[in-house]
Amino acid sequence: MNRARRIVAGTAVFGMLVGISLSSSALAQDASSSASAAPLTFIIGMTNNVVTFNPLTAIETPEYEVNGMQYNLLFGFAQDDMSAVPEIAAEIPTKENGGLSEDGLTWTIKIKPGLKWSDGEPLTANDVAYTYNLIIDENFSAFTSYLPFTDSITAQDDTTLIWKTTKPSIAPLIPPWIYILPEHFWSQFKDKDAIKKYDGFPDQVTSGPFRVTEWNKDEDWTLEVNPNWWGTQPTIDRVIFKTYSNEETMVQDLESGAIDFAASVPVDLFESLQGMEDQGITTNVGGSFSFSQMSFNQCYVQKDCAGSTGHPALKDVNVRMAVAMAINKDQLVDRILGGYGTPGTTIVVPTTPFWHWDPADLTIPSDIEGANQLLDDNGYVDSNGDGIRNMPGGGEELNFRFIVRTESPDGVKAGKLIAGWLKQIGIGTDTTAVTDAKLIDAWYALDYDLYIWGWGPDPDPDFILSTFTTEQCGSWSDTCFSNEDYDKLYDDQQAATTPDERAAIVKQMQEIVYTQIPEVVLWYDNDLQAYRSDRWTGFQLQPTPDANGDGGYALFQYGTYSYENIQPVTGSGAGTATSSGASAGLWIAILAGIAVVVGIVVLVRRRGSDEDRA
Amino acid sequence: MQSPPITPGGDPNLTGDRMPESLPELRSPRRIRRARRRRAHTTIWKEYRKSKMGMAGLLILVFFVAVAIFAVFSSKDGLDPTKVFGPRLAPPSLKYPLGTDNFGVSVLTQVIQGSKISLLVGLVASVMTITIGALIGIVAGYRGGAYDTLLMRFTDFGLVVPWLALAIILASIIGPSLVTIILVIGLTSWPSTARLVRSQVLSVRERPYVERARALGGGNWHMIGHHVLPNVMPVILANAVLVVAIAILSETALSFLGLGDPFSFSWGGVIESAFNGHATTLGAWWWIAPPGICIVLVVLSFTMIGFALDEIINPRLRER
Amino acid sequence: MGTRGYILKKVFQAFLTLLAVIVFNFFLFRILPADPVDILTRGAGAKLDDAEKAELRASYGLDKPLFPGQFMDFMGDTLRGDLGQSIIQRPGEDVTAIFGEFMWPTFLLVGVSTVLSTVIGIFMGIYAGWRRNGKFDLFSMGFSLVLYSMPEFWLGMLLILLFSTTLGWFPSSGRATVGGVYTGTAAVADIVNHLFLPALTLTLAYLGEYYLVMRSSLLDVLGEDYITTARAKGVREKWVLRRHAVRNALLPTITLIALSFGFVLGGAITVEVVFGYKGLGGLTYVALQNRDFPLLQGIFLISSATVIAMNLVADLIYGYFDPRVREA
Repeated sequence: MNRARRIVAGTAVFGMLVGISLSSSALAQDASSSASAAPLTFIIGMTNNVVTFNPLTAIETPEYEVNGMQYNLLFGFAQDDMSAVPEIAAEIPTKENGGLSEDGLTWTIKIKPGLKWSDGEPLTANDVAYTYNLIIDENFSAFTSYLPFTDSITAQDDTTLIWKTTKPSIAPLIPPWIYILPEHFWSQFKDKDAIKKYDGFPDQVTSGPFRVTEWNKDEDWTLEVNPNWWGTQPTIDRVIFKTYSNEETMVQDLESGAIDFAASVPVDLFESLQGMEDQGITTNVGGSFSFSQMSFNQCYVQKDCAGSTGHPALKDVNVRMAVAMAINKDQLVDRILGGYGTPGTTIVVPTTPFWHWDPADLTIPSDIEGANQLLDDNGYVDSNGDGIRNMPGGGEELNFRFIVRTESPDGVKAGKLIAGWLKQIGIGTDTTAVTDAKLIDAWYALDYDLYIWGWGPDPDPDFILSTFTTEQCGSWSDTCFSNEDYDKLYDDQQAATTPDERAAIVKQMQEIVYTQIPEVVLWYDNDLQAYRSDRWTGFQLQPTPDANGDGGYALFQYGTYSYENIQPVTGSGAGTATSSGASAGLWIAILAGIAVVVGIVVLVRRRGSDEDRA
Repeated sequence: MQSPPITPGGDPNLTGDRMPESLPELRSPRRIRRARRRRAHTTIWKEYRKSKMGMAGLLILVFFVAVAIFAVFSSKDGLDPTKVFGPRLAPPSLKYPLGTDNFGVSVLTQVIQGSKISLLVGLVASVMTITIGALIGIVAGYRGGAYDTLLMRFTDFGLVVPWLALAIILASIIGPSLVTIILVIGLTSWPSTARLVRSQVLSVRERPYVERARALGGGNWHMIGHHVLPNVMPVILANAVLVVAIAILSETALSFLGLGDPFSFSWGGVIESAFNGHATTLGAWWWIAPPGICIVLVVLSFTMIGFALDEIINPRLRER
Repeated sequence: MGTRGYILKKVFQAFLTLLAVIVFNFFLFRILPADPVDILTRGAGAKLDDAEKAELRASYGLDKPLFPGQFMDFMGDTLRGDLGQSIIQRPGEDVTAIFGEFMWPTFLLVGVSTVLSTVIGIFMGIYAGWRRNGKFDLFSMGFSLVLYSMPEFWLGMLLILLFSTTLGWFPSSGRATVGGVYTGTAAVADIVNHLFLPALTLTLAYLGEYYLVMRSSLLDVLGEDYITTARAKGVREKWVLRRHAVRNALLPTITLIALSFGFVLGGAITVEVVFGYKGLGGLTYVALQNRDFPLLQGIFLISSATVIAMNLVADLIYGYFDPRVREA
């Protein structure tokens, strides 16, 4: 009995001590945070993570975002329409201002004078030449496509870059998405392997407005203003990126004010944030730089196609057309993306209107009856009455193997809808969901009929166009599509000498892909963002939003327009770190725990004494 | 995965050790055996009926089997999102008694259709587990010696294999599907059954009548078929019921981790899509609760049946 | 065979099992389709050409033939304690270091839950077994059976729904406030705040099993002859309970605890996923999706080794307390 009493007493004392210390620390925390002058901090939450800050090995979106903040390009992307604007360069070189030679083979690019690196060293044309030559010599294939037909790139002096090409092309004005690196820092790496092993932290020598100063892996990373930044000085002092393991916590933190900006919010949660303007949360529908597609196996004519198991019906463009007609893209966007997307058309996203071709009258309609009619007219009838059409003449049934990726819930949903629609036009599907690894296997082995995947191509269309050339079969080609005219046009667009000339060719190429239907572009999905508008203002959207105010990115842009311009809303107390002590729930739990322990002990004691008496 | 607490044992009275006293007109040994067995079975059933827990469990199970059968014969159109769909994430209403998910498909339909998959997978996986486990247990226990040592080492190994790794790897090769899940459960759950069966076989082997039968020249097959198996069966049966319970829970966990077939939802699959559809944050309780409640009820029913059987078979647990 | 023989035999068996597990682990991960280099290059849209891919493969030793090349490397390294470096998750970092970092949150979570569930479960089990068919027994039996039948991650989701979404008392996920700047007691409070719901979930999930085992082994013991003798001799009930019954009934439970610790690493994975808790479970889940071979191998190897070790401990404990087991 004594022992029981002691236990109860001890627990109570312990509970009180815990309570006192928690409350006192909470009070202390609040006191200290208002006392010190904290740097003006902007906090961003996302569910992606970074594994490296090395600009030559970066892959993930947040890694590119950091690269954009730490480094500069020779030519940047304009805020309104993503066209080339001078960044490190002083002006756009043309034939008129002497930037381009008469024969179109020599570009003379003037560099802004007086630029500095973060360690004070001057940023000159030598660094530009060094960077581009490094890419070419060590074959960093992620970037070499930006330097086509290069003959030589040299620095004539500190502010002049000479870029010679073997054929007339507009290579410098694409513009090349290659961050300029300081020669005096990167020359310490003796070869490509050494470069690849470097994770970019700490103490990189950078040129952009911010630089990484702290990195807690898998938690957060901090960037502070670069004192030697030569552009628009930002108002904020610091940016912190936080990585979350799930989106719900991120959104909750936005609502509670623990973060200022939430990136890539999923549709359901985004919808729950609508109408919270008066609580200080503004949502933004970012433009689409990615698309999802459904690809057909088109490996028939080329030499590498011997092992392809694609269904013979897919050779016929009428079959592909019927399938495309059965797909109701409006429904896909409505039901899967919650309306935050655009029905797909061509492989070049409409967010780059300069390059995008609008099918207009040639748009493939969504029409189940028409699809049925088309198949009937071409002889694909159901010869054995089982609901599935057969090849003309009563041959093989039209059953397609349809692969979707488990990593993409949207893709799985699209698969379900499309399978349902195909059934309505008499085409059977054997749908399976597999991991990326398995799909890659099937892809390389040409062992599939249909699959759903997606792309997030560069703003410049060169790469995505290249994936439809014949030679990319077995490498990057989604379908092993092969068309001679298309291949020729690809070379032509690379050799174009003015952007307008190039745009015309690019549009022709899109028309070929759209009418030949090696794949159906299902949708362009928006990137959904949300931020605390009661605390921050000054976001610069890129590109210019449309009439509905949609389509521009507030952050995760091609450039640092927002970072340089955001500032706190006066009187909101934004940007100073806040903290909270233990929550109400914890207190209740502690009290409840004590009560339970006391209760049990009392019960046991009472029973015990009953027993002894028995 | 949790393993059920089983205490091995067997009541000789139920397994036909003694000669029946008053059974006229029985001439052949086979008829004697059959009569004995029938008696044993009716005795078990009578005992079982007395157990409230057992009867309650049986009732619940019958209900869900009926639902599953209904699911097999009813139309699956409700699951086709191109045919039938309502508003997304709608709370329960007259038209959709359990509301809809974030695709607009009725949750009630999913739960009904899920019953047949959850039960089927649980059943098939259990059959696999028990077959493998019983086989290994009988061989190890009966043969003894080197066979026993080898098989028991193998069983130790089986206990230690990370079932999750196996699960996800098989899913990568075969693709996420019900077959994968069945294989994973079947290939990793047998050790406890094997151990149980083995110890039962060992205790049976020591019994005097068994030694006598051997001395009389009984061959191995005869021994196993007529003496070992009938004595081991009750224990296997009680264990089997609990194995099914665990198999269903395992299938749920594996589906939750994304290894199930996203095109034919088991109850675990519905919970998985609810979780990934942020149902917890969006407060869509009608999407989360029903499949889980069904799982609890079904597993509970099997557990109760198993415990009731266990009480009958293991006399120590009975009242004195 | 005596104590020493028993110990030696058990240790030797454990070692053999460990060896088998190491070999099995190796082949298990090699039969996967598509190696990490493929995932790295396609999945993220990075554009490496074939030459670069081959280079990458070579640097990871993925180009050697499976047997003996990669296998011998693997065996040699593992036996020396070098479990390689992660390829995708944390490129270049030692697997053992990553494991160490993620190990503590999981230990904390599972440790706290196990302690709570064993203590509560044992007490409940004893009380229920002692007063068999009493009100407490029936109630706690029902309660435990329901808990035992529940998928623990579903329970977690319900708790989130109630305590986090509806009542707002606790955060719904995470191990601590992301990027938080707390120190001292505030940091501890923050961790406890985040730990509460997942620990509650696991405690309730494990509770049922400990209760049932304790109860049934107590009932077993109560049926033994020496208990009847003690009662016949007139020993007081409470003494009978404390001195004889509980002590002997405790044994299976203790071994169960030892075994449970072995499953610590894999056991909490679904709960960690539901709560976004950054521990080993979450790490495993993500590493599996990324096909980070070395990391996966390392995690599973260490998990299996722990299970084997804990089994050994359980065997030794049992052998110590129950001399009957030690005789051959």
